[in-house]
Formats: sequence, C-alpha cells, structure tokens
Amino acid sequence: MKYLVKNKTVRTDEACNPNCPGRDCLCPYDYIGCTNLAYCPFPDGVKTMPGRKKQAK
Amino acid sequence: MIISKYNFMIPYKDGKYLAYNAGTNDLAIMETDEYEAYEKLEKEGLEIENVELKERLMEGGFVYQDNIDELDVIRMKMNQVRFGQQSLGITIAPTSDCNFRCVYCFEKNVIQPIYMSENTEQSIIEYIRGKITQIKQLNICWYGGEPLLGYGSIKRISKKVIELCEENNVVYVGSIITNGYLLTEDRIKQLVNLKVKSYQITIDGGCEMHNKRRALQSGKDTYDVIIKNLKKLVEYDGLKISIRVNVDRENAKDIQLVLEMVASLSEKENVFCYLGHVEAIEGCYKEETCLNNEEYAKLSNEFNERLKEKGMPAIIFEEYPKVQYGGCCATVNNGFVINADGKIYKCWNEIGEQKHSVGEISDPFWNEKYRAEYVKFMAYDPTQDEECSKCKFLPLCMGGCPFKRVNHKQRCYVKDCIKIEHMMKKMANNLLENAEK
Repeated sequence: MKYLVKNKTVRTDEACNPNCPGRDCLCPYDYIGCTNLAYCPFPDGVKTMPGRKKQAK
Repeated sequence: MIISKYNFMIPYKDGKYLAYNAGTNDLAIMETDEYEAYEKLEKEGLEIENVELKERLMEGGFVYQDNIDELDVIRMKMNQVRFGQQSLGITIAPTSDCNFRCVYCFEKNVIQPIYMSENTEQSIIEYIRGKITQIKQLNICWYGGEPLLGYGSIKRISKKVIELCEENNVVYVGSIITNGYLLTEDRIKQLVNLKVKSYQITIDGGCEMHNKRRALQSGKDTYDVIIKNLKKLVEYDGLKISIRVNVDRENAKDIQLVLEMVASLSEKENVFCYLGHVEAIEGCYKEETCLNNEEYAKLSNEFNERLKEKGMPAIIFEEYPKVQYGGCCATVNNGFVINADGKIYKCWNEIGEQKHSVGEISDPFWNEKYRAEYVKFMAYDPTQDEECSKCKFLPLCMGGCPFKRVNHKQRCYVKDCIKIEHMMKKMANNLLENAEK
C-alpha cells in the first residue's frame, strides 16, 4: 500500500485563514475548482501536491 | 478493528485499487492482494494478518484499532479548529459606501456613505492589542462597500497593526476585496508597503457585459480603468491576484472573454481566475437569472478545463478535495467581520444588517455577551444533522455554507456532485505520471 497523498490538508488549529476571501462560500462544488490556494496567504501551510506538474504556458 | 465509513475504494488499473479516506484526505494505491485482505475485513470481518498493511491502513484512517464513533473524531477536529487560538482573522469594512452599483449586489440595501471613525479605528487596534500575545498570525481582509473609498482607515489601522505584530513576532498578512477601480499605481505601491498581499478583483465578462453589470454609481463604464489597473498590479512580485467572475445566466457565455483577458495579462503564476456563483441572497437579485447549483458546477468545471488548456496555474492541485473542519469565519471563535460603524458580524453576507450584529468593537466585552446571532453560528454542528451525520462526504463539506444552513435551512446538495471517483483517478494518474519522471 503506497500513499500518493498524505496529511495534505489535515492541519487543525492553523487551517486556512478563517477570513480567507477564497472561502466566502463553502459550496462543495467549489472543491471541483476550489480557489482556496489562490487566496491563501500562507501557501507554505498548504502542502504542495507531490510531483505537481508545472504546466506549460 | 473497525472500518472507516469515509472510505472510497476505487478500482484502478491492473487489479489495483485507489483508497481514499475523506476524514484524513489521504489517497493511497493498493495492490490486489492488499485490497483483497481489506475486503475480507469489510465483508467477512476477517482480521488483516499482514501487520504492515494494518499499520498503513490505520495511518490513513481507513481502519481504527479501537471501537470509536467516527463522528466523535470529526467533532473533535472541528472543535480544535473552531476554538483554536493561534490565528486571528478579521474582515474590516472601512466604509459601507461603494462607487459601483452592481446589478446583483447583496449589500445594495445597506450601502450608505458611512466611513469608519477614528474612534472605531482605535477600538479595533485596542482589540488586536489585547489579543496579540496569544496569537501567531493575524490576517486582515479589507472589505466593504468598496474598501479603497476608505483608504485612510486602511492606512492608519495597517500601520499600527503591523507595528504591533512586529513587536510581538506575529505574522501579519493583509488581503483586499476591491472592485479595482481605485487601484491606481500609486495606491498599489502603498498597499504593498502596508503588507496587502492578496487582491480579489471582479471582472464579469468582456467589456460590454462587464460594464452592463458592474457600472459606477453614476452609470459610467468601469472595465477599461480596471484593466489598466490590473496590468499595473500584475507587475508586482509576491502578490496573489484573483480574478473572480460572478456568473449567472446573463454572462455565462462571456466567461471565455475573461479567460482570454487573464491569459494575456501575465506570464507569472500569481494570477488566478475562478467563477463566483451569483445567488439571490435575501432577494438581492432575480432568482430566475441565477444558475442553479448543478449548472454552476458544470460551468465551473468547463471553465477550469479551459484554464488548464491555457496553462493557468494551480488547477491540478485545486481539484483535490479539501477537508473543511474549520468552516469559515462565521464558525471560528477568532474570526469576525467589522463594519464601518463598528458593528461586528459573524458572516460576510450579513454585514450591515444590524439585526445580525453580534456586538460592537468599542465594547471590550462584546464577545462575552453571547448574542443570539453569535451563538447561532458557533453552536452550528453539522455532525448533529441527521442527513450529514450519515454522509460519506461530511469531512469534505461539513454541511456546506453555515450561512445557508443556519439561516435558510438549506439541505445537503453535495452527494452526487463531487465526482470523487473520477477526481481520484485523474489525481492518481497525474501523481503517478510525475513520480515516474
């Protein structure tokens, strides 16, 4: 059993900025293209996906 | 040993399975024999003999050693976030005034030429001073009305608060939600110096459509000025710029034009674009013009696909689900919204509606008075909801928008719309492809 994603967002006390403008709606549809990272002022706190491919412009 | 009810076991390739747990948000790939051992536990109650596999499954929350109620685990995590003390997040509206008259504005009934007084500014600073030794992060989001109409307050509060944070080793980050019209180059320079790092600006389509929906109070056009300002903004390094397209039936066909505009704005990976869902909050807009949830989800998906084609950033990451134990500022103890008149609210959607106020910032004991509107949000607990408590998606959704659930009794709308199997397969493909490179 090999983990592809582990402990990615399970950060309890220091989760996203509670007032993050990207969280103005918790509509689950947002998960499909959630904008949290776009706004997150603490991007280091949200672990980057391993091996995320940088897309060509 | 018990099996988590938040497991999703998805057939993958060559007899392998993808194992996703919504409670931990972990994703793993299982060999055929590993999955068979898991399946025997699930279906026949046969203990897993492979000690290593058992350990691995426990790490990801797929199985529990003890006989626990998983809803208690979720409730525990939710409360950890809800009552955490390390960060303080305040949304401040330096004015209730706005220079725009957007057709769908949910604040249109509360727009007033009220500007924050120096006394209110001072009360905010004193409130933060009282909290500063207990926190590690302070986030202030400038909101409105149009916050740049109250720029003097932004400047004065920011300067004091930044000093306080520096003296106490607290990380400070500012963000702003602005229509972008007053975001001149000079203003951008000043805001950057005031540590405003994130900017949300709304463009509602091509020039004609945008001007029709987001005109000045006088009725004049705004598109060209905003684009000119945006071009200056993207030149600054270290900023996050989010372009929001508030979408409904009227402008759904225009989103391609925004996409092309955004793609041409910058080569940097600091410009993001997404669709916002226009809703008729408290009757602020025509219900029939709004997209329903399914339509919005579909359009949002298509938009994201087009973003990917254009090489826009961060989309792969953002498709991965997020665990929402914390909810939003409405449901965390250290999050609230302060209006220009000093009245405090728990939810952005309620700003200016005085009946929803939870206190006044000039009152040092406001948050010990437990106003009904405060308790309403803080006591909201989706794990107690009959439908949510049985739902496999609960950790990813936590009941959805607390405003909608608490005020409008909106029922669950998640079930079929998170295409989790499709999403996980796509995610695994991406991850495995990259691991092989």
